[in-house]
Amino acid sequence: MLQNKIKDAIKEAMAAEHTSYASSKKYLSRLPTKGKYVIQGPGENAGIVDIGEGYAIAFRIESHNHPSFIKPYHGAATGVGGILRDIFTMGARPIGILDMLRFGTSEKSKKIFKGVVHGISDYGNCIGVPTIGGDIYFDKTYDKNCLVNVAAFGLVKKKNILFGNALTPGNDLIYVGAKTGRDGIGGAQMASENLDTASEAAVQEADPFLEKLLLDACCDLAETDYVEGMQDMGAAGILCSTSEVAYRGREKTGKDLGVKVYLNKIPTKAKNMSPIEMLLSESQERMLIVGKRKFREKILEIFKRWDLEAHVVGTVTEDGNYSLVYDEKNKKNIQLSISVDEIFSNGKKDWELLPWKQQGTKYIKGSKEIIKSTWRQYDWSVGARTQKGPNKPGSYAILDIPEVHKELIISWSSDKGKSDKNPAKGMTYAFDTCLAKIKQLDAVPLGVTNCLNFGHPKDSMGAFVQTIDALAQRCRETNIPVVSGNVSLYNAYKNHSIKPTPVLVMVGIRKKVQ
Amino acid sequence: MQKRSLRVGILRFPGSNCDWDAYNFFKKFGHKSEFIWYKDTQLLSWDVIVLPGGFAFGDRVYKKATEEYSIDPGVLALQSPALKIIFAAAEKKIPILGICNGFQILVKAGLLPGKLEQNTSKQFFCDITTCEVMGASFFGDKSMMHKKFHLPVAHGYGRYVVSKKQYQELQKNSQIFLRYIGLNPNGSVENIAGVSNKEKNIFGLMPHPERSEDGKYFMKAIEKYVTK
Repeated sequence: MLQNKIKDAIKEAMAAEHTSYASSKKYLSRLPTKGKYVIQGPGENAGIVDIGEGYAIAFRIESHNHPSFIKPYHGAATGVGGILRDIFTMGARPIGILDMLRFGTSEKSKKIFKGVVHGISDYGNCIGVPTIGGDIYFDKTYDKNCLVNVAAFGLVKKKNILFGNALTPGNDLIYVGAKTGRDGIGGAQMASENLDTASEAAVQEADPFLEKLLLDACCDLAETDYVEGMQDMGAAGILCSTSEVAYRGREKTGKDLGVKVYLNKIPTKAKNMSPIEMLLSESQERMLIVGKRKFREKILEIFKRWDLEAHVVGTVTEDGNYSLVYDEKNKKNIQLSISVDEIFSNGKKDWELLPWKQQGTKYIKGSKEIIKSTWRQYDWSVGARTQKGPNKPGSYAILDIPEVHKELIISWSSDKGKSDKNPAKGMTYAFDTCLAKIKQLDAVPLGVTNCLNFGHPKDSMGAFVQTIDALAQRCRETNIPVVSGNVSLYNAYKNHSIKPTPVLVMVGIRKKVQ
Repeated sequence: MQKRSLRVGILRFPGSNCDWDAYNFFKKFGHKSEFIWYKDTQLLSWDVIVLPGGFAFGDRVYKKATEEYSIDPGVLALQSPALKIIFAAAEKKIPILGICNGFQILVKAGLLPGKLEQNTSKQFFCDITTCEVMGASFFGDKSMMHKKFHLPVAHGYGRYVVSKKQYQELQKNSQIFLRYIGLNPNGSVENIAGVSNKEKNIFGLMPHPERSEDGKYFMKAIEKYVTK
């Protein structure tokens, strides 16, 4: 019985929109993702572009909308934590963060705004990754659904790039970081539902110091030859990370790879956690390492140096199965196997593509005072790379990359509220604004990442598709690929969907101007 | 005359986050940077020791058996084995520089006078400040006296506090070497941004010269002091 329950829970979690992209993936495939600078496109933890001389930039944007609305401080802080893990999972050291914030105009919205900024500030500052820019807009449409989008950028030597895959049977699955607790269970489903049904218990708590330790340890590991893959534990935590490494490995090698996970070896902070709770917990600051078996001791040694708790919790197999070993009362070591293909059952949801109904509320840019009092709470100069930060006007940042004698140009744009009237025009505006800045600064555009925040698919899917098509068209015309991104649907409360809210970030590179 | 390359020890805690900035800063000027891990205990022949910025151990001090915590920068660092190195270096009059969290630690360790408390705004603050060098200058470099420099600050606990009596003593001994001009980012007493010990071989400041173009003047002062 319990075995069937676990199976159902696994399938349900993996079919959630946030993990499966069931409603959006057939449209996302329309985006051009290849280009001469692209090392890694969408499908990994972050996209990676080549900046020459043996170095590359990993970057991605993520949303943490629902959690930030429910628990502003922790929701926003864990949003920063999550996107940073996406970057150092690839072996890259994070060198910058952007925050794109959208809030309502109600009194409650103002309070949430304060908590969100405080959360981002406490977390990012402690880790020592500079917040180099972002933007703030207010609109009544966000009264019941604030938007917190965080982009992050990391620098990596090309030879050190890691992917979220398991490739070789017999290798270790190593769990490192925080203990698993009951916090954040059901987070992935929460992000795939309307906000009126979401619960506070699904929001995780944040510990930036632990994240800092993970960051340094993982960057140290990336310099070695000890690991063949790394994956952060985000949505649907242990379940998603352990199954995803097998899935990617299967795609890459063509081998019938699987994994065996010993849930009884997972360190827990709560008592009597059920297998389902362990699998789905979204406790923060945890990573999964696919370690080469012969370097097991070396890997554990690196984590020990950083005072991190690490355990071998599983192994890579060649039986095509996702196998769990767990204890039940009075019975030890029950084994449950599902085929990996069954977990990733390629669910699809089809929605009618209705035209977007304009809301017409005012889209207001944060005042100069609000903007200044916000960026002053962020450490934007740590790392000593920030040539142009939020202290000077303009939706772009310049980071010094002395390793390659170049400067990284990052430009970003909202749709300035234009998508409400015409979704395609909104996205085109954002794209052209980003590109104009990159060109004005004499940089070569390398790629874009985007966060597509929409309401309930029943009324927003038409706008979503128009946005994708407009982005795809501009990408093709300019030969600039999309290398990573995020879709956030269900930003809705009862029957109110937010306006279509695309956020675009473009990355370019130029020779250092003396 | 060829410049002498200094051997610089940079104390690294797990939560230091300006460790690489300090490392690269000295390297850029041709010096040899070495990390001192917080568990190390042996004083090597460093020409200067730097305590960089960051959050040494996250700075959350947890109340026993509860999840509640208070923030107290520097206090956890005091229990580190490597503090032995710092005290030994202080005894031997080896120059020591504490930046931001490093300053907080030196103050907590009693190697520098005063206290660093939460900013008056109760918020983290990051922007570029203007600071003037005064007192007995930075590592005694007369060429920096009464010059103004643009230095970023980034901290939540940088409000320098001393009693009136202590303040007068610091003044008398010319220990206050740096003050904010115009904008005081944290509410420090008398706009104090940095102080030294009485002997003028230990310096602590909240602003970050290693992040600034003006950092080169601070570097020159250290070079002159060590090689004189």
